[in-house]
Amino acid sequence: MRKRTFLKSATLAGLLTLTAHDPALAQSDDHVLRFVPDGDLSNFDPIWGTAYTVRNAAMMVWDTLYGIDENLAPQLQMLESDSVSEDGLVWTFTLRDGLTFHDDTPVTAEDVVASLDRWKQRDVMGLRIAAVEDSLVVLDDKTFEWRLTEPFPKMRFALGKANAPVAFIMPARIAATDPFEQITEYVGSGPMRFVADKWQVGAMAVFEKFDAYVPREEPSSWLAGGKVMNFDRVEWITIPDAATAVNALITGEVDWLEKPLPDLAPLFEASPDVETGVSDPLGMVQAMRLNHTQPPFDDVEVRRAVAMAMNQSDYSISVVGDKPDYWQYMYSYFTPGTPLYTEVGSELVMTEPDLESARQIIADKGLAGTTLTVMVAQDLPANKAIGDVTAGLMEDLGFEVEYVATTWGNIQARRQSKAPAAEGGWNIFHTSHSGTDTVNPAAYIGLQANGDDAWFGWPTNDEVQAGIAEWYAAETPEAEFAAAEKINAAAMDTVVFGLAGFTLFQQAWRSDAIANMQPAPLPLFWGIEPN
Amino acid sequence: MAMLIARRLGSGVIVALIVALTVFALLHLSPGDPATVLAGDQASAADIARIRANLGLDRPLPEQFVAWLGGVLHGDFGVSLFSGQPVLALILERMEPTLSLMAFTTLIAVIVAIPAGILAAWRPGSLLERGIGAISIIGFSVPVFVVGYCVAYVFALNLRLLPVQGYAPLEDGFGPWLTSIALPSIALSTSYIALIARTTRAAMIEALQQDYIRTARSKGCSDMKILFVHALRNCALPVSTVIGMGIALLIGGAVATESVFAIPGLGRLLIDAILRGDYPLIQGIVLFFSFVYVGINLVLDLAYGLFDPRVRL
Repeated sequence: MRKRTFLKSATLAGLLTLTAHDPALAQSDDHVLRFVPDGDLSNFDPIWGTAYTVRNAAMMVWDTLYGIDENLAPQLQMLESDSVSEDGLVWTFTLRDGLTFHDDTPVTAEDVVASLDRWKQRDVMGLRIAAVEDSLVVLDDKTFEWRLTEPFPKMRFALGKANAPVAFIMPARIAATDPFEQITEYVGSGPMRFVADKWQVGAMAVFEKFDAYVPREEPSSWLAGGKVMNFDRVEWITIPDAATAVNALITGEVDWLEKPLPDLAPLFEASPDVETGVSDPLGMVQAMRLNHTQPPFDDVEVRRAVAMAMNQSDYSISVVGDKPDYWQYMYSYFTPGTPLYTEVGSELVMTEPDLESARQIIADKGLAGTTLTVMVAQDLPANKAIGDVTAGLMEDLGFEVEYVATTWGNIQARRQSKAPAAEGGWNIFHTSHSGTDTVNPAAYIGLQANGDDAWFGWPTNDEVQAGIAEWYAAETPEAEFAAAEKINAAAMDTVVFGLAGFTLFQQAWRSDAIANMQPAPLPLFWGIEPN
Repeated sequence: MAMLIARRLGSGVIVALIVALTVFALLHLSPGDPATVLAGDQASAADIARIRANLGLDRPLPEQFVAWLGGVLHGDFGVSLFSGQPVLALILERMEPTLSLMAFTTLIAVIVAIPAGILAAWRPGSLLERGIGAISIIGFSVPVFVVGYCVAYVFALNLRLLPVQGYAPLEDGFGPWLTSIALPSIALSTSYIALIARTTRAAMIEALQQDYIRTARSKGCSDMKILFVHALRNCALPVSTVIGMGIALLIGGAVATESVFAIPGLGRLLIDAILRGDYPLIQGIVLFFSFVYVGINLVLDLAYGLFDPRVRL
């Protein structure tokens, strides 16, 4: 009996030894960072694919002419210098020394011009530049010139912004690819090299330090300054299950979660090696898109009634929980805490939500009992949470709600329909805009109010459009702010979209693996250090 | 035997074709448009139309299906709309984790379930039988992902014996491979164990009531010999059938298991493809699974001949 017990124990011990898991065993002398992104890297062409995940990975591999710093100001990055003629029509750019692609070829002005030619066909700001372009030409290996027919004061911002698609610089042969087709070679001049043969779509992507990269000497500040890589290798590990991702961080199988599910954040409190903090100080703007082309939201008074009834705290808490550090009221269409934030014209949303008055407006217009089609993405937790709040609110206002539980992919298709809801159209869907995109009108598609050419919902308001044009033409911060005030007042008056609050997301990392973490509009892999 | 194989292969190809056509039709009849997903929020209607044309999605559906089927017959499953990578290469890349998971799960299930079913049949009405029956019901009722979270909580989070996620390929060594596959296989095996155990028990009870068993007992055969030599062989047909049928259960379960344990297998690839609307990839994976299923059924049909000579007549 004893012998049998001993044998059992020995067998079990042997099995456990064979299968014992010790993350430390997997470590080599290299500094490896294991990062879990918020989404999977399903393609790797940052011009063709505009997903944030693609952009974030691309930031390591490709470099940009300028980089936005923490004051949202564009700073020279690949450039040594730039100059603009007094009439604002001729921009001349000179590349800095030491720029090398990962295939060991030098970066030349020809590569830059080819890259900009591709980018400008897919980017909102690029298209604006293209519309006033006279020529874009190479002057010599390090210098190129962009001649315009009209001044474009936002040139530096356009070439350095973090909004996708970013003006990344690629070798000319790769940049020659049709912007509506994917590149198949991933060669950049950024601080990390993409290890293509290790890429498992949707599961794993690997980046290795590019030793020939020469960082700028200025201190790092978001996308500006020296991009000093202290890790030899960065592994992007996609973990689709939120609970598994959190568990993997707690057990030390990964080092950094870009965006853990807020519901699971309390699990970190019992784990002393895990730290949390705000990932992106520019946060997310939660938006309720109303279809301005169909009843009842073709009536501005109905839109205002909805706006006055919306309680931003209900929405924000449904997304990130009740921790006050992770959400705040937003009484402007521009990102809180940034230079263009203004509450001019925001009186309607700055008062306490007034459900009674809103319900009365709906009733007086004979709309009580009207059916609204609300599209809600069940595959996006935040979208579902916000959609549920809206469904309840609309019922409280006296509407009937047709709750369309679907996927984000299906919403992306259906939201294009301008038909009545009963014929395959819609009345409401929700989305979120990155706070990086809402700092100014440049990449702020949700703010546009140019009717058929506007974003889904197709709001029409000439004052908003005039304000946006003024911002583009503004050459001083004061003029930009004046334009922002005009935009905000007009957008609030017409309710371009319903503001459902401003949320900040947590990131979580292991303090025994990473030091010097810093919040930024996107996960930055330079500046952080192995611990 | 050759005719049997030929007949089964022929019907397998027809089944695969019907599956392919059905999946193609369902995909294209369902709402959603991959071009809008690919184009991104900034894209204009013209941009979306251009992307659709580049991907061939603007062509008539019959033309798209014929083109795809023609490609398949030449070994070309098309390319993923999203990654631009060949579908066949993606399937081959993701095959190992899924097959590992399914094979190891089957091994666990057979090792656990058949003895459990035999033991339950050996003492009908006993506490042992009722216990095994109760465990079987629980195993069959609890969803795979719930079991997955439970075993992860115990073995990964608390005991720190096994990793909570990921997959180590066999080329990294047997130990790491086993380590990575153990928890997901345990999670996936519970309902499979229940299915096989209950079938084994029923088949054994029936076998143990046969005249030849009574004869064996009267000749003084031991219980073990009766159970494992005389009765078990006659249970092979229903048990092997349910093992084969259970592969379908495994394919479905693998989708959830691979997501819970972040295993880069075909199930997860399929889920990602469905969520994005990556038509060629969905069609390729479903076709692959249907071939696997047809193949397993063929092997089972041939195995029947080994277990029961009457089948070969």
